Amino acid sequence: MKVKVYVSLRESVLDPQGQAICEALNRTGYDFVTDVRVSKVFELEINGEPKTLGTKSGIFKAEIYDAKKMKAIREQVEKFAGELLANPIIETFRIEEEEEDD
Amino acid sequence: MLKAAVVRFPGSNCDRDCFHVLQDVLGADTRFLWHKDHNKIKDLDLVVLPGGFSYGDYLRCGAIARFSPVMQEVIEFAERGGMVVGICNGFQILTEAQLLPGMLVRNRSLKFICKYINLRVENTKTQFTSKYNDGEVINIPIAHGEGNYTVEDDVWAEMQANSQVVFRYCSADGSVDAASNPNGSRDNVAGIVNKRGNVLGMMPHPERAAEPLMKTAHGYRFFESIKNVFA
Repeated sequence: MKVKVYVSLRESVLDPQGQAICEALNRTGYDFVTDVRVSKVFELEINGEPKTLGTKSGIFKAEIYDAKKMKAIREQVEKFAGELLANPIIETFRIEEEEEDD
Repeated sequence: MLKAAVVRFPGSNCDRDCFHVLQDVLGADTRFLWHKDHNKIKDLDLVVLPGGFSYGDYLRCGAIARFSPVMQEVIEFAERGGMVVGICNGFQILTEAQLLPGMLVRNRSLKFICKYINLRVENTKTQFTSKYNDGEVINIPIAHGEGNYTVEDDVWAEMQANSQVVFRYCSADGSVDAASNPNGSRDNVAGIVNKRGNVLGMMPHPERAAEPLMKTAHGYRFFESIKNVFA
């Protein structure tokens, strides 16, 4: 599956890079743009399952197993997004899952 | 005698300068630590995280270094009360590791700034600054693109109440004003300590101005203050 993590600067944090881009836009005639904030997108390819899921033993039905797996993946992505991908002191993040076409 | 170590990450580039000042100028027993090292910190008095571009400054400055094996032990060392200094990129690593409050973001001008600046010593009661005089103005270099100190208001209030701001950018006569703020740092912050007073981070480079050969030697007393703790 594919997961995207969007990381943005908090509103309270000045974004000098965005300001410079906004000024460049205004200078080149795009003066209807009044603010630019630069964000990052992390595109993650996810295969397999998190270690926290434990073993496959037991008699899970396939759909129960899949639901547990998805829950574990979401929890783990949420965790590392806040630990590494974003620094919560200056940034916020948002996670998006992409539908697989199969 | 002071036992010190300088940590080398891939991309560190002030490691030899720090080593030289500690070993040759200060006379401390100094060694290097590699970012993958384990169990080499126990008997140390001081760990220095030097300047540079650890792990290419990928993601955010210091963000990857914070998860290196050696940093897990540096964090434990700091939590036990060991003295830790982060200079420039080292300061960024310490904020990423949350050993120090706040964050260092892109300079307001978006430019990498490399020049001598004036600093006012705001707190001489720390173990890192006891050899300076209150309010003294010192002249040492900065060299960074991301030194713009940012912190949330409630944390900032607490930092001020605890006198955690150690160095501020100032004019030659010691006034802390907007004109002498090189990078947009909150209230001209150039260096801070943690609440406990054993972890210090600063953007300027005392190791580049610590002996008579250099333009100034105003950074020497920073290292001398630390040595004095273990005299």
